[in-house]
Amino acid sequence: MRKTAIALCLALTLVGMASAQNVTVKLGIWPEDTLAGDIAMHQGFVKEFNATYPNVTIVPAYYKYATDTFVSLAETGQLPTIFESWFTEPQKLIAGKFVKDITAEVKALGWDAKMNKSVLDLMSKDGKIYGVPRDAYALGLMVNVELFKKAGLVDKSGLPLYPKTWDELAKTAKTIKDKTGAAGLCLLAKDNAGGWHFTNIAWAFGAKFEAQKAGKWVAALNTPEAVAAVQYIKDLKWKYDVLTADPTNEDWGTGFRELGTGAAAMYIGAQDAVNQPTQVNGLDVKSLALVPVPAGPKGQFSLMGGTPYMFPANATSAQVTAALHYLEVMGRAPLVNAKTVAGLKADAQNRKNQGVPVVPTFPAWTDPAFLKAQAAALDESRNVDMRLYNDYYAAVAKKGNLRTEEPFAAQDLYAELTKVLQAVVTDKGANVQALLDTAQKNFQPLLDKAANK
Amino acid sequence: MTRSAAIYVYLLSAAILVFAAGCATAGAGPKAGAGSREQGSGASGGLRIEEPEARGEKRPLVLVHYMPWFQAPPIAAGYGFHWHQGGAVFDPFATLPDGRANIASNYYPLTGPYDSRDGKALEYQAALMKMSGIDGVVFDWYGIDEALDYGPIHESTLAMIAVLKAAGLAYAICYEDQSIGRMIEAKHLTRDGALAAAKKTFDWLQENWFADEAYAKLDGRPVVLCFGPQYFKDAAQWNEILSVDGPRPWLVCLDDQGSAVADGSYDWPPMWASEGGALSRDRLVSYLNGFYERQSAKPHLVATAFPGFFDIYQKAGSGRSYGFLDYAEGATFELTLGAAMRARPDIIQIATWNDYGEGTVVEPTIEHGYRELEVLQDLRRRFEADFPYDYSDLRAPIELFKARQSAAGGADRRKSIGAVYDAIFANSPDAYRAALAAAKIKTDFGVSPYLRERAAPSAALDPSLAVFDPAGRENLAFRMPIVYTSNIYAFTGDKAVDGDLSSYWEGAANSYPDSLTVDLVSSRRLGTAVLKLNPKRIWGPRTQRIEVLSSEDGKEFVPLAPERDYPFDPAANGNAVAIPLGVAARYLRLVFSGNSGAGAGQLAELEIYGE
Repeated sequence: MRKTAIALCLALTLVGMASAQNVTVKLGIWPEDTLAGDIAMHQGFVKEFNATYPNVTIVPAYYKYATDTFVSLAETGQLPTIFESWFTEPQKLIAGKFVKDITAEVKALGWDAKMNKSVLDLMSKDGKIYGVPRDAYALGLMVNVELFKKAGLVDKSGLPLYPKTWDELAKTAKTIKDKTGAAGLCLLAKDNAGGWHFTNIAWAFGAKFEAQKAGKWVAALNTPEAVAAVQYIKDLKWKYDVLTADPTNEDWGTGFRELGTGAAAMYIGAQDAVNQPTQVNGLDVKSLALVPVPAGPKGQFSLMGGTPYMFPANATSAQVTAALHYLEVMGRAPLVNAKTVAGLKADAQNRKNQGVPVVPTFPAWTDPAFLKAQAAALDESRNVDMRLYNDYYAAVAKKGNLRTEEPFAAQDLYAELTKVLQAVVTDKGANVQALLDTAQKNFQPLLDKAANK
Repeated sequence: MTRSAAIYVYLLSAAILVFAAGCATAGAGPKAGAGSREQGSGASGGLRIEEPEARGEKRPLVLVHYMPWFQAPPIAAGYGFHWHQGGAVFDPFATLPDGRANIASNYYPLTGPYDSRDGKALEYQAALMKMSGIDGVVFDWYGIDEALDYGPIHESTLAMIAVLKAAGLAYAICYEDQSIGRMIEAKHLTRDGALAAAKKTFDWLQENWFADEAYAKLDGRPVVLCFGPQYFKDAAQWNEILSVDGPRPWLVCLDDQGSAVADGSYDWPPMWASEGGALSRDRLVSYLNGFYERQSAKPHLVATAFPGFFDIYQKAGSGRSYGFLDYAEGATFELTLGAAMRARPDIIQIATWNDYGEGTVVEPTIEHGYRELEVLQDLRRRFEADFPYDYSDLRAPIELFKARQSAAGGADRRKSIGAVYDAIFANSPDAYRAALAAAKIKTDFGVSPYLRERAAPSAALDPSLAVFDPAGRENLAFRMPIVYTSNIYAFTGDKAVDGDLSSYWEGAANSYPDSLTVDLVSSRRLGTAVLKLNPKRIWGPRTQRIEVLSSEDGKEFVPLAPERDYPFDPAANGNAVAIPLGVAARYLRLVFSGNSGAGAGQLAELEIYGE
C-alpha cells in the first residue's frame, strides 16, 4: 500500500517537471490484443504522428467503455487520455464531472465550426464542448421506389411522394396496399428491434420513456403520448391493414428482405444499411430512396447512435490537443488531403462494384470543404439519383433532429415495448392502456436496477 | 389456455439428475443400478415449468447434435477450418508445451483433433454413446451438393451413419437451409434454382435415409430438424420441399422461427439474450420457462440440453463472440437437462456433441472429462435400472482409441481391439468385459488424453525475413485505398493492404477475372511488388494466374507483367511471390484469372517497395 503511494507521487513530480516539453498520451482507442492487423495499423499511425510531434509519447492503453467499470476508473484517475464511448453517455458523463471541457482545444483547431450541429448539441452542455464524433448513424425511412411508381405515388420527375407525417404514412401505405397488393410498411414486432424502431415513432407523438425526477430515473411507458403512438400502430394493422402478413415474425434482417424484394414499400433504416435492401436482397440500386422519419404531432426526430471520443477530467490541455492531432493521423478528423480523397474514391468504386448505393457517410462533420471533396469523390462512381437521399441528409443535419436511445436498460425497454406491439398487431381487441400499464410495471424495476442503485 | 388452472411445478432441486459438484470425474461412479446420487443444491432454482397438457412421461430418445465437419491429417492433407477458424491465431500443426495441438477451441478433445471420416474416431464416439445411454445422433447437415465444404461434410455423415448402424444407434438430420444461400453466394446455384435444389435434397433423403429403420421418427414420420429456417421463409416453399414420396417429415425448427410451417420447435442456447457479453443464469431460466410454456400444448416435443457456451470466434479473429454461458461446474447442463425432462419430451437433443468452435461439447475433453456423459448415463439408469455400463466403462474407449493409434502389436492387436468394439456394438456387456481383459486394456477414473510428443522447435522459414525487405524500405501500399471488383463473404479488398497476413481478400467465386487496384495517392518509382498469402501450412500450395498493370491516372492502364502462373507454397517460398516492376506510377492493378486452390483470386497482402 505504502509503496504504491510513494511511486505515484514520484510519477506526478516527474510529469509536472517535464510537462513544458514532453506529453504522454494514453491511447484508450488502441486496438485490443487479438487484433493484430489493427495494431499494425496503429503502429503505423504512431510512426507518422511522431514524425510531426516527436515530443509526444503514445502509450497503448486499450479500453472498452463499460458502464460498470467506468466510474471506478474515473475516480481513481486511471482512465486513458482519450477513449470511445456511446452517444447515450456524454450527458451522463458531463453531469458526473468525469470528462474534460475541451472547448478551447477544439476551437483552436476550428473543429467546432465543422461539426454537425445536432451532434455538437449531444456532446455539449451550457455552450461547452466535451467530445468529438468518431462515427454515427441515424434512422430514416427507406422507400421502395418501384412500388411507389406502381401505385402512382410519384411526381413529374419520377421521385416518390413520400409521407412527411405518420398520418400521411398511413394513407400512403393504404394506397400502396390497394394499388399493388404489397404491404405499405414493414413493422418489426419479433424481437428487440421492434421496440427500438418504435421508440423513434413514439417520440414524434411526444413520448419520452425515461426521465429523471428528483434525482431518480422513472419510466414513462403508459403516458397519453405513448398510448397515442401504440394506438397508431394498432390502427396501421386494424384500421388501415397496411402491414406485412405477420409483424411478429419480422426482425431487422427480414425487414430489409421485405423492402428489397418488393413485399413492402417502406421500412425504417439507417444510411449505413443501404447495402441491405440492394446488395443483399436484390433491389435495383436505383430503386431505393432514404427519406426522413415522418413527423408526428410533437415533432420530427431521428434516432441516432454511434461513437464519440471523450477525455477524462484530469487530462491536461496539452494531452487533449495531442490526442486530437492523433485523430487527424487516423483520418477521423475533418481534414481533406490527397489520401482521404483517394480513400473516398476507392470506397465509392467498391460500393459501385458491389451494387450498393454510393451515398455520403453520416454527416457527423459538416465542414463544407470536406463535404465538397466527398461529393466530388463520390460523383465519379455515382450510381443513384441524390434527390432520393437529399432530404434525409438535410433533416439529420438540423439542430435538434437527432435523438439518442433512452439512456438506461434500453434493451429491456425494447423488450417490453415489443411485447406491447405483438399484442396490438395480433389482437384487435387489445387494450392499449392496460398493456402499457403492465409494461410500465415490468420495466420500472429494471430501470431501478440499472439507474437507481 | 388453462393457465389459471394449471399446476406449476417448482423444481427445487431435481432428484436423480443432480449430483454434487466435483464427484463426477474424480470419484468412483456407482455400479450399475446403484441408485440415486447425492443431491445438489438449487441447480434448478427458478425453473417454473408447467406439467405439459399434451404429453405424458416416457423415456425420451436422447440424440446428440453432431458436427461432421472436421478434417485432419492423415485422412486430409491438412486441418480443416473448424480446427483453426481461419488460422489467424490457431495452428493445429503447432504443438503446445503440454503436447496438445494448438486448435481453435476453449476445450480439447481427449483424442486430439480428428477427422470426421476417420473410422478410429467414429468407433470411439459410437462406443461412448452406447455406454452413456445415448440413443443416437442428429447430424448438422448441409445437403448433398459438392460445393464449399459440403462434400466432405456429407462424406463424413455417411461414414458416421455406417458406424451408428453397426452399433445399433439411431440418427436424424438437422438441415441447414442456410447452405442454399451460401451456395448462391458461391455461384454454385442461382436464386431461381434454389427451391429445386432443396427439393432434390429432400428427395434424396427420402430415397436414402427416411425409410431406414435407424432413422428417428415420430408417429411414423421422419424427424427433420432445421437450424432456422434461414433461407426458405415461406410455407409454400416448405410444403413443396417436404412433399416427398413417403410420410411427410416431421419438421422441427428453431424456437421462434418457421412458425408457418414447422410441426414443432426446439430450443438452442439463447445467446441473443446475453447482456454485456454473457448470458446470465436468470435470463437463461426465464428463457427456458417461456420456451417450455409455449410447447405445453404440442403433442410432441424436441427439447435441448446444453452444458454451456464458450466460443472461440473472437479470439480466433474469425468473428465476434455470441456471448458466454458459464459451464458452472456442470450446473448449466443439470439445469437445462432438468428443465427438458420436466417438459416430458419425446426427444432430448444434446447441444452439442462436438461443436468445438462454440464450446458446447459433451464429448469428453481435458477440461470437463466425462461429466456430461455420466449425467446422461444416470438418466438412462433412471428408466432402465439394469443398464449394463457404469462410469468406469466410459474410460475404455479412449484407451481403445490410443491402442488403435499405435502401430504396436500388428494384426493381432488390431483384432483384439476390434473384438471389444464389436461386443459393445452388439449389446453384449459380458463379451465386452471379456474382450477388454483379453486385449489387456486397463481403465481408471482419470481423464487420460491422447497427446503428441513434444516437438522440438523447428527452424521454420520466417517469411517476413525470407521475403523482403532487406533494405528496410517502406511498404508503399500499406493502408492505401484499394478498389476490388468483387469479394466473397467478408474477404474485402482492404484486407490485402492491412499489414496483417492472417486476413485476406478473396474474389467472388467463379467470376474471373478479379482485380485489385491500389492507389498510392501520388506517382512513385516502383521497384517490386510482393504478393503474400498466409505462410502457415494450413494454407497449402496453389498457383494463381496473375497479370500486372500500372496507371498514372487511374483510367488508362498499361501492361507491366503479362499473365502467368505464380506458385504459392508455404514450404518452398513461404507463400510469397515477388514481381519486379521498374516503373513510375500512381496505381497498380493485379488481375487474377485462375487459382488452383480456390474459385477466385486470393491475397493476404500486397506489398509494394520503391526502387
